[in-house]
Amino acid sequence: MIYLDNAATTPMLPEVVEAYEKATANFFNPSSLYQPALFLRERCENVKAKICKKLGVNFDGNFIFTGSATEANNLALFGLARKNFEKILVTEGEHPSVYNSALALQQQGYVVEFVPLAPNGEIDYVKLDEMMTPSTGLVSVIHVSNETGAVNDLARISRIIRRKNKSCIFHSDGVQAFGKLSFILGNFGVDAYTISAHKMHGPKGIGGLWVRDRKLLKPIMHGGEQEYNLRPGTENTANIFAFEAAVNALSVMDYDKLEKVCSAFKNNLSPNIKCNLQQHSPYILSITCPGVKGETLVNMLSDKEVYIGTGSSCSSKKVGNKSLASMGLKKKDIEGSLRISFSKLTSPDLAARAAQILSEAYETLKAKMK
Amino acid sequence: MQKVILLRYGEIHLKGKNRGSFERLLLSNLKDSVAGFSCKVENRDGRYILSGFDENQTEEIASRASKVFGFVSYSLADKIEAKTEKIEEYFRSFFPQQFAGNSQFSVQTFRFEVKRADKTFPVHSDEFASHLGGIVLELFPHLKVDLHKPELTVSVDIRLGGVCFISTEKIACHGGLPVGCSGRALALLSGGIDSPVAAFMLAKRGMKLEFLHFHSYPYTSKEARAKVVKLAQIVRAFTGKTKLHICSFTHIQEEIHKNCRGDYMITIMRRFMMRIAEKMCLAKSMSAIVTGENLAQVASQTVEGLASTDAVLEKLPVFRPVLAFDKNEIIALANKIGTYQTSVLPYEDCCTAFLPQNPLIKPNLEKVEKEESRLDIEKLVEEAIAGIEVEEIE
Repeated sequence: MIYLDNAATTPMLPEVVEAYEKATANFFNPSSLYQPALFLRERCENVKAKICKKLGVNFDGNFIFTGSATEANNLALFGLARKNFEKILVTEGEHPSVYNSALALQQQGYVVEFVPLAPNGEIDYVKLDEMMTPSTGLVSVIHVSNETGAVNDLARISRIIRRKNKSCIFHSDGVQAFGKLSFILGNFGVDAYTISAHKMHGPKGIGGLWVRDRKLLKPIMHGGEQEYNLRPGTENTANIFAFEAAVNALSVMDYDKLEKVCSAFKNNLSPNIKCNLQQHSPYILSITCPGVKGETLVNMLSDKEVYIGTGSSCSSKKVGNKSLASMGLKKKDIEGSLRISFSKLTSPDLAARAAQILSEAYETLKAKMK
Repeated sequence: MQKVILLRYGEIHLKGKNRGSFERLLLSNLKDSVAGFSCKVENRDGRYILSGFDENQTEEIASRASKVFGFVSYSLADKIEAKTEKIEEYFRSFFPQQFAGNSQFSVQTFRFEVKRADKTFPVHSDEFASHLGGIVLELFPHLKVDLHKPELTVSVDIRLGGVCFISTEKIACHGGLPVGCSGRALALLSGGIDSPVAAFMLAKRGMKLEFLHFHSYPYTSKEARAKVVKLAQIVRAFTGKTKLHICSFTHIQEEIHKNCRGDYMITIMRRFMMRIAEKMCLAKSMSAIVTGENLAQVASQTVEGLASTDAVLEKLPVFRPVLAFDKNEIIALANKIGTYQTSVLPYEDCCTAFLPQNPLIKPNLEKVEKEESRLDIEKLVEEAIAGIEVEEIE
């Protein structure tokens, strides 16, 4: 099996599984008042501090664990939006959890506008500047596109936003960036940032939202006082400690390794297959196989135990790919697009082999479609 | 007293000397529908009775039984001995208990409907109805009798053999005739909205169906295939145990694409489907093909398109029960059957692979045959049939 759909999810590392199993034995509820529970609560806070340190931001009771990154994005958009905002801006290339939340805000009466992407896959900075007004209250821009791997320049976006409105809240969905790119979030001028564990070899069922000042946020679910009254529900301690193990396993060497893996894949691709972006995260590669449907190739490769995706798995049921369309790709090319996504567990040799298998399948299919 | 489900048939009443055979078939289909439940199934002079089941399963058993074609209505009933004092006792003690706190007793008006299949029962129907009405009025003085438009009708059904069934609600079933009384046919199942409805309609007229699905993996997904299995399982509640034959259409489509004009793709594809279907039917001694085609819905379903597909058939008729329906009428039926939500799942069917820009709307038979002459039709059909996989829809 060659698994190249790591933007959908990644396998848990053995040390993550071990941490998870160990943590399930400690069954106490961190909200209880006796010693073992208090100890557990403190450990959860330490995990948050560790994550914030990795992100490059201060931790001051301003990191909230959620049940998924989708929930964290919902909490960000609905929890940060205020009725007096004149406008909310998000990009056309957001993950459905931001995009559809923005549409829902629109239905609630907010003015929401969608900033297009430039042909290089990043947000169109000029358009953003044009659309940004002094009373725009909230901007949400994905850090690394889950569909194309394009990396948005958050510092630049922050400058554009602040020039118009110093107090505008800036949220970014960092699910495909955290643990994969080397950056200091504190330098970007971001107010809220979403992360996920299972995209970086952690467990499913846990995400998180860092927020610069938790007073900016109001809860979207109501219940107990967990997570500073911002996200009720008993903490999923096993997932929290497994997440910690995944964070511990991050290495500064990962990025360089991934560049080699991605290059090995590209170097073995048929010259008829096009890469959609020149510059992108080495973890995600968007390609177009002209003249065929991506889904057919996914099926053909699946029979050879090579697993890839057509786009974001959270939106793969729908025809098309929002990001590629916003970048200006033609419908035909979007139909033939595929998303290849790697992890630190992918070897350059396997990536090369997968590219060869894909290229062969593509040429066979193209000959039949002529 | 015993809780039972009482089912009534409709059109079978009109059958003459062979009514017995219809009744036996209906009984066998009813037994099949509740197979797996511990439950007694019997036909008692024209009433079908389910009894002896776990009361927690009443809803599930009733739901299954109500989908057996041939029945027009069912009731959840209490079975008691058909003796006047027992029936009076029932209405004095059990009936008020049963309905205390039940919304049915928020009604203001009621009537009794007494039927005596057993004419040896000592009191006449009307007389007994007013007697029982009197008992209920004593207990619930706020109620009024309304013989014309009552809010609650209490049915007392006195049958042969000294049993009486008491019920207050008649729930409609789907009518029709028992599956198996009108021969056997092969229904094409595409995965869309129309074909399960077409199958439902023919099964309703008593046809025993098996299903045939064409898929084009890897051009279509495994999810599309799983969706068709799911549809067959839903329709199975009406058709009884059946088989889904899954035929890979990929090679045929590739050959048509390679050798024939693009705009003929759909027409030639559908002619192949019909050939395969007819050949399978004949091998299985089936008498007809059922499709969900709907006049003028898409380019291939024009009268010329249908004629060009029918032209390949040598012996068998094609039944197209939804031919003249509007789409919203088909959707209404699909919702009633329970297939709609599955049918609209967004997986592409085999017609979308190699879809031409402009399919032929009015194919000319001579030209179609000329295009097809470039293919080894017989071999392609044989190969496709040889590769068919069968899913048992239990």
